Amino acid sequence: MRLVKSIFVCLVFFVFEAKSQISPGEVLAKIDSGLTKFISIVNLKDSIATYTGAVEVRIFSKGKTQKIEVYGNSKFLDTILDERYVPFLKSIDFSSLMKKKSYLELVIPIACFATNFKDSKNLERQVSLSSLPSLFENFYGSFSLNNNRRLNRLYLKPIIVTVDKTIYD
Amino acid sequence: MEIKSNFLKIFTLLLSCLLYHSCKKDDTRQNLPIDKIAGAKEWYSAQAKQSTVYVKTGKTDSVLISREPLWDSLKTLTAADQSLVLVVPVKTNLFEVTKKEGFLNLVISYSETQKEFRLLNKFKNGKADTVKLNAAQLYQMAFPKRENIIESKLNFRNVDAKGSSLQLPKTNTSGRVTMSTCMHHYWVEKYWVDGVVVHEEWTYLYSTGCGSEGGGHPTEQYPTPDDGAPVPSPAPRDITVNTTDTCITKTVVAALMNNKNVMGIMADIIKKFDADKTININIFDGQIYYKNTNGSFLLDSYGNKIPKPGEASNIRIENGIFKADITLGIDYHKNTSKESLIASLIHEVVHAHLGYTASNLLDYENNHEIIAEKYLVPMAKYLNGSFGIPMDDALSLAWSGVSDSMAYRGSTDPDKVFVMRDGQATYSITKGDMDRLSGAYKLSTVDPSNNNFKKGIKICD
Repeated sequence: MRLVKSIFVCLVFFVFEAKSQISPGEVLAKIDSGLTKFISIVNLKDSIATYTGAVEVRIFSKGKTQKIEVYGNSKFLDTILDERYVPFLKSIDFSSLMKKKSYLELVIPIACFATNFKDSKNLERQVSLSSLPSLFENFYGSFSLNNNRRLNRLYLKPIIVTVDKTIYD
Repeated sequence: MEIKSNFLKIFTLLLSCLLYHSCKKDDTRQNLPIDKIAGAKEWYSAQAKQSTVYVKTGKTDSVLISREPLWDSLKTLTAADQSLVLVVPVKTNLFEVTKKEGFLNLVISYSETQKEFRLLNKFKNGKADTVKLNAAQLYQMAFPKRENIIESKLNFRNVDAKGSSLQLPKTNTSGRVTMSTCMHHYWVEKYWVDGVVVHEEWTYLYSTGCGSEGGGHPTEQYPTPDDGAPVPSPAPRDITVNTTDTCITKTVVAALMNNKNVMGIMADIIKKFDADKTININIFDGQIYYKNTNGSFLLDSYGNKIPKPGEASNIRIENGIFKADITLGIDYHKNTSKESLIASLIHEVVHAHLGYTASNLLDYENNHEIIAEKYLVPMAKYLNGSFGIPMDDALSLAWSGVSDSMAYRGSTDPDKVFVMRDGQATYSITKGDMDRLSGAYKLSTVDPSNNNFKKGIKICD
């Protein structure tokens, strides 16, 4: 009888496990579509044409527990992302991405290209060459790293925003 | 070896039990496709997880409403279109919260191509006890536009749905009593995606302290947005109406809903915007005024700011989704005509369309020259088709939005004739007529010089 119970519990457990865990593809799609919902370009200044940044999600896994830390590497992210993006990322079940790893870093690059056709300061719509190194560095996430954790780093497809800030009458 | 043998026996036993129970359910469901019922239940459960329901009083208090379908009391029907209909009573705290009597029923319409559900919150309505309806009647109330249940010959016209079916609050303010204790209560459904509310639907339930004390049914005093009710908006779409002014909202919502009945390029653009999941257009209203290039307000000869009819802004592509914001001027359109407001709306829609069709947002300035060249006749036809106004009037309204274009500014002669072609048709109008004809639609209805308001429909009618 005890054996029957054990088998039944195991069966229920495996069925439940299989249903509750979402696939790696679904996790990435959820991040992609979910983060887009928190983007707002309302506070973006017109005068600067290019912004870059990256969101880093650090996932610590121990058994069934998952601890998630979220970091942004640029003030631009505070301007473009609603602060609810942090709890949103923390609510995601990353277990299918973890496999047997105890640590994983996800880097989500975000870039925004803005223009304003009526802004005389911005008529040329050019990016200065000297700004490019820091723009690239931000895009790839210049987070302080230690030990071997950087080996478990996964770069996601960048989120690109292009915006015409011209007000058309 | 013995353990292995035991395991096989137990496994076979479990399998037999499962098969037996499956067959048993089949019998009790009168050969209805058990998989389809299970599918419908599973689908609803997933939907329910993404929504929450509250009873709200105005914009402040809210109480979470529990909804637990009593699947043991499930009734199934087949609709004329062969979709499966599930009608289930729901265990809820709704009536405890509202201190009223009634029943809550879940009605699911389920087919491969169309899956929908409605929660019918039915209050006992005075002497007329409308809560004892059968499953077919509940289905008809939940989906009134659908075909009847197959082989059903019930006359649903006799069903008193007033006050018990879900309905949007009316914005009629006549007869409204504004007592300080008057409270309106709403059924509010919020839909969530990834922790974010993506849609909120308010349904008026009943009022208390508004002159019908103790009445357990909705009064005729339908609350307005000022009372905390949301402005009525159409079902969730890719064009979102976020306007606050009641008259503007009413006119814009009606125009969008009527768009399906209008033919032509302009209507097709709106249809595409409204149907395409990769396009989001947000319509707002606000106090908007013309500005100088240095950001200061442009002033008229009396030193007053000059109101703007509308503007399109924040035209953008966010992760592959095209978005644009359209703002309609509250001051400009106050007390004017529906035709003038919709002319402004479609003008801004064209700006959004030019952004959407641009190969690169960052290298393409959409402007009034393009609109003057290509879109005036489609815009005029849209106004003509929507309101039945003469083409000359419609063309004048369309032209008035591009008065800064080179074509318009090119001549000061009022007798200058503008000729426009659209396929085989040719339209012509003088500059003087344009100003005269469009002006009547834009003049405030409270302006003393606007005698009798001869042109157009008042914005709030």
